[in-house]
Amino acid sequence: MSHLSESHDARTLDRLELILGRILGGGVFLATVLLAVGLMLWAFRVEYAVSLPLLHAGLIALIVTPVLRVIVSVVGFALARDWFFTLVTLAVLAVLGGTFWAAMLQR
Amino acid sequence: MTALSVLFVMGGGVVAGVLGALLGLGGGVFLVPLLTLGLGLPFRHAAAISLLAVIATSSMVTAGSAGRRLINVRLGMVLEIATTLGGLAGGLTALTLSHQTLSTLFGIVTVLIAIVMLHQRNELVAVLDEAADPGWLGGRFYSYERGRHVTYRIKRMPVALGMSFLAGNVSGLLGIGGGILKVPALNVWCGVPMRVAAATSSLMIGVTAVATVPLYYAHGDVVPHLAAAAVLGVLAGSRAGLWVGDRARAKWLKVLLACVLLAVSILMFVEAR
Repeated sequence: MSHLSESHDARTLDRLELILGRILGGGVFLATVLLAVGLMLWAFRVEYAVSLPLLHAGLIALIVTPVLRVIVSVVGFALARDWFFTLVTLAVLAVLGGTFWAAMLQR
Repeated sequence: MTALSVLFVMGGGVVAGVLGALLGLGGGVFLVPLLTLGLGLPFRHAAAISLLAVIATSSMVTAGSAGRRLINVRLGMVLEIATTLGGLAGGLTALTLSHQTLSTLFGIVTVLIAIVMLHQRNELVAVLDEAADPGWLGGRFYSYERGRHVTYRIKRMPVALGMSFLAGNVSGLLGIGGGILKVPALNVWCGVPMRVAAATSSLMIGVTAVATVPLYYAHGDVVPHLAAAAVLGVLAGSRAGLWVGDRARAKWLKVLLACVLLAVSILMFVEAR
């Protein structure tokens, strides 16, 4: 591996790390707000029809955030033409897909 | 009654979050027994809540440490194949096991964790000069301990994959993050510096939990208001714990908490009878 391609490689990874960090931070923030508001409404016994969807939305935001992180990694590695890691990340995504599929069957 | 249990869960989340951050654990090890033994929740309900808290902690910690090159994104991705498979398998298995069996398993794993915690050493792995080739999965970062940039290479990849699968499996079955199993293994056997192992593990536990939680969700094991309380508590607690943890590096704390874990495991065995 030449020095030039290596430093280019490192820069791509650094950028990816920062973007992933921002996605995760944003997801947690959104989930926190939804959960806090939902829980407050729940505690003050406002219509459950209002508080319950908020709580579920917060929990789902929490669950979706890491999935989004994996999807963005696929795109990041593909843009860097790093096919091996594109494949690796797709494999992780496939396992998560398997989980959601198995969850659907549970219902 | 329910409002009281929400407060109890939130307080428990804060405690679990503080302890988790201080010890570099997810906090689930403390949250699950609090929910089952303290609140009398069925094991799977406790595990589901704990896993949601693990996801929140993972995202928060990773967002905080991003940009310092401590997270090895590539190593994390490869190992995530193993942890998510483990999580999926663990979750599917958990749905077939009884409260008693799961409590027994939790008791056994907490004993193991207590032992690992007492023996945990910060192995100084062989690092190379900055200019050295890190190999396809290694990396470089700024080491505060050494005051310079260092390079590390990954050894024994099959061991790392095996331990990751096991950690994912335990995570899915019992609702704990599994970092306590991966981090020492990566550090001692696979040549990953401690801080990198911990940061990369924090990245992985979130996606690992996501490979399990939808199963519990669909099975009706997620109690929304208790989960929300736990997540908010753990987030606040781990933030506080991280803030304190930089200063206080108390060794006695580990010994104390190993004793707590041993007590927890005894209670779990009693619960399982």
